[in-house]
Amino acid sequence: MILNVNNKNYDISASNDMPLLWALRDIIGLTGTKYGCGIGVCGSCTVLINDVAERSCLTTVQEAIGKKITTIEGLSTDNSHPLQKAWVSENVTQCGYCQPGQMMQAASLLKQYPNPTDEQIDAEMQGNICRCGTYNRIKVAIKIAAKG
Amino acid sequence: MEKNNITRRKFIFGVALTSAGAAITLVPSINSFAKSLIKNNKPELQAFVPSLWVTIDSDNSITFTNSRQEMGQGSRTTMAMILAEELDADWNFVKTVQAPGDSKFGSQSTGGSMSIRLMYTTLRNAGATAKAMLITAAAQTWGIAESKCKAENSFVLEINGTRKLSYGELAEKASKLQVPTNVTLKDPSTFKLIGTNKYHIDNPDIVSGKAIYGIDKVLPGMKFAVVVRPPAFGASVANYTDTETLKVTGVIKTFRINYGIAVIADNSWAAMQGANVLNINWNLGNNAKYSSADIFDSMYKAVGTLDALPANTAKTVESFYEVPYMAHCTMEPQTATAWYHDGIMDVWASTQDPQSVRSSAASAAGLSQDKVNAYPLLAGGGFGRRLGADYAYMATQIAKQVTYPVKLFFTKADDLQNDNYRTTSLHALKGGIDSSGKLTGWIHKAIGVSPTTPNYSIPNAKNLSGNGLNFVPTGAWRSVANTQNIFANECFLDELAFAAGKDPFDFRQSIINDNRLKNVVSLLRAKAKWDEPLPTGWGKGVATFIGYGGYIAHAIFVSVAKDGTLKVEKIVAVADVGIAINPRGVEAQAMGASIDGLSTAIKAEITIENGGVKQSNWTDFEWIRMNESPIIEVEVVKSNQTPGGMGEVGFPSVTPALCNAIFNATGIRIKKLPISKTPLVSSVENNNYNDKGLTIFPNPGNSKINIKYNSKSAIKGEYSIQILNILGSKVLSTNRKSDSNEINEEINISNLANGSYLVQIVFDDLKISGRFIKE
Repeated sequence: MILNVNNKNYDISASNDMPLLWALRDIIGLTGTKYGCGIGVCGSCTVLINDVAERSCLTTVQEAIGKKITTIEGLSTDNSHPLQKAWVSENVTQCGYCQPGQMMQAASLLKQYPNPTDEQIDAEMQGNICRCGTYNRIKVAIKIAAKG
Repeated sequence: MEKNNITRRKFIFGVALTSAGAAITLVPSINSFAKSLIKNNKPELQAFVPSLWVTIDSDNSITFTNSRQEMGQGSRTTMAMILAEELDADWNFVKTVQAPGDSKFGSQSTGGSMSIRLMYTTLRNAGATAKAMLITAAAQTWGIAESKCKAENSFVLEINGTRKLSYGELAEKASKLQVPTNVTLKDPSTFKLIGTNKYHIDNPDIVSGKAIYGIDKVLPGMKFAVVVRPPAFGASVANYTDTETLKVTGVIKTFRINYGIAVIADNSWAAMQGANVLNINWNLGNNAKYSSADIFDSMYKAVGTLDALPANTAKTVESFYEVPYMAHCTMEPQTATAWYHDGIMDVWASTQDPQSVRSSAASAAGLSQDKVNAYPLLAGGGFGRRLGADYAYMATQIAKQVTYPVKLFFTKADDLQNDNYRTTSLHALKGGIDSSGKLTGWIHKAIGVSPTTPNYSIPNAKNLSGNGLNFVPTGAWRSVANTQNIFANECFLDELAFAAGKDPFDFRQSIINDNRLKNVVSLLRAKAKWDEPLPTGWGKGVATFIGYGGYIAHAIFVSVAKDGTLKVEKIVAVADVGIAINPRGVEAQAMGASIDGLSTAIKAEITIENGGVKQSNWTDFEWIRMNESPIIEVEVVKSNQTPGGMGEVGFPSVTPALCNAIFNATGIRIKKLPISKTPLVSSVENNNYNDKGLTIFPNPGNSKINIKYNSKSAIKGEYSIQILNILGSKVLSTNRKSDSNEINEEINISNLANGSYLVQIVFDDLKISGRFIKE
């Protein structure tokens, strides 16, 4: 089967019910998308599918065929995406493990709400757990990224 | 030609240092642990020459070898800053690499907020020594005195001249010099880098997905493994069959290891699918009959009778405080990759202690440690979990039995159910107030942990301890026994302040002896605007902590709605950790510890059922989410005192400040954690809260509850039934249509964390509310 990830086609062999997460990590070799809970409640594995945030642990490879998949590695090639710049300048990360998922969720949020309010950020981001507790800085970084 | 050669020629200072036999001169800079090694004449002593820490390349890059582990606390950044400060290095050219597990680095066990305290002087010496040698190299090149040279931003400059040479240009010459024996360290008031805000050195890799955590390790031909483990502590595999497992596409084989049954597959998904269909018979062992209730019973039995308080006691207050087991639940589950080849075992792991990985792997593989290499990778959180190396032991046992590299990972459920937990504890406290409102005595008997006396002037303080039923494996959890003791102590102190009729802030300030804590607390009082009136429904609480070389105080503001919904409005913290190497890092640790504190205080707990852990994922082990996260303001005190720790400092006083704020808002004193178990509604009987016509049964419920609502008039149209947690977040929701005057709904609550919940039936123009408890 062919998956289009970060504008590149990958011809992979996997069982149809394999979650996209594991195809990305173990078969394609894009390890930026993280395993957290496996049941869609922590957000670590968030990717964009046709520009909308999805949990890759709950999306099968079958469902992803023919769609445009964007992972953290595809956000930009040179850390120039506004979210990447804001994440660095605001020093959001602690352990950083959940941050690819946070950023992909934020990318989806900004597509929907270019200038999100606190309430919109809370509503869209509450599915992403940060065990290190970086929420305050994530919120600031999203607002900075929204300004471009 | 040499200069233009882009081949990175490395000049490692250590080659010269070691051969000169001068390493020993740097011993005074090392920590007490290393000193104990000297006493025992251990060869590991060689570890502390600066050569271990710094390499300068001819391309001017400065590579810092970090022996402390990175789990988000920032060691790869702050340790490098300390070295670069004394080296006068250009920060843009500094990169950090991680040292393998090797006793030559001294202790690599990264816990107890030790990294800065352990390495501050060592790394300053290493930086200053390297700088002195670069200056000597420049002075010799120019034929002038060293005193005519100075170092700045990765260059050595001629003080009264225009000549300058970069560190890269000087590296080769410097590497041939003898190590100076007594370098001068900077006066901290002249620090240029220390005390500035630097972002996490790995940030660019993290935000691009390039950062490699333990779980991201990839080797050619690598296979993937999970291990199925017993359902109860002390249980073991009696026998098993893997017929169904081997039918799963991608599964290669299964076999027993010490911890359970390993399933090896071509990918992670296949390994998990195969594990799900193993057919295992367990020997359940002796613990399978116990639950959390049995453990608490045993702890209450161990309390006994507490002594009488001094005769001048006018008012006696007695309380019990209960604390549950707690999992570390790191974002990245435990993982290790092992490869046995050519008689060597290579192990990669996200760990807090690569030496423990090395020794565990050697033990698991039956090899001597010199045949094992342990490579630490970035850890997706630590909090104490990765001090042990069970994951490395398991990966190694598996790798020893196959011919290819194997990555072992814990599923989320494995990780929650096979942890070294923060222990559960019970705290019996007894305190007295005299007729003028002053403390007369204090007795703290803790079951499960060793109690501590609060950091205040407390007369006749007595600490006692005891043990209850204890079969659950326990280990260090961020701030260790302080998580339980400071909760109990600071809440009880609040009870005594209330009994004395005093403001809790005044009461504490009147009994603080320590000058640094006094300063922190008075700064907090102003910053938090403690003395200003609060909106209706709000409450405020305060608590303090001293430990790990740090001083901190928290003021927390909450509001509690009439329906019992709690909102943490604001957390204000003031921290004095001496010289803050990276103030933004200190702030981040305080913010993170606040979320840790709120999560474990309000929602998260580990409970025991049939001898094992009941929780299996973030659904029944709930954490604070962004919509529940308050504003956290942190003030880092400017200080010229020796740097202290921070990772653990920010945690202990959060929980009691929160509980004290809830008391201030509601008059309800939280006596057991998590808070979600205690309904924050004024009625004694939780059921009494329910709106007319609404019944919820059974209450408390465990797997299912029935929601019944009778309306006088027919309910027409759509409505929704929502279940909200103590913080008002929707945890279950269902939409329905009706045309009768009765609602009957059975709701499965088996996936909810234990606690008190609000039920809301929401109609177009009406909201019916009730409460129930899940237990």
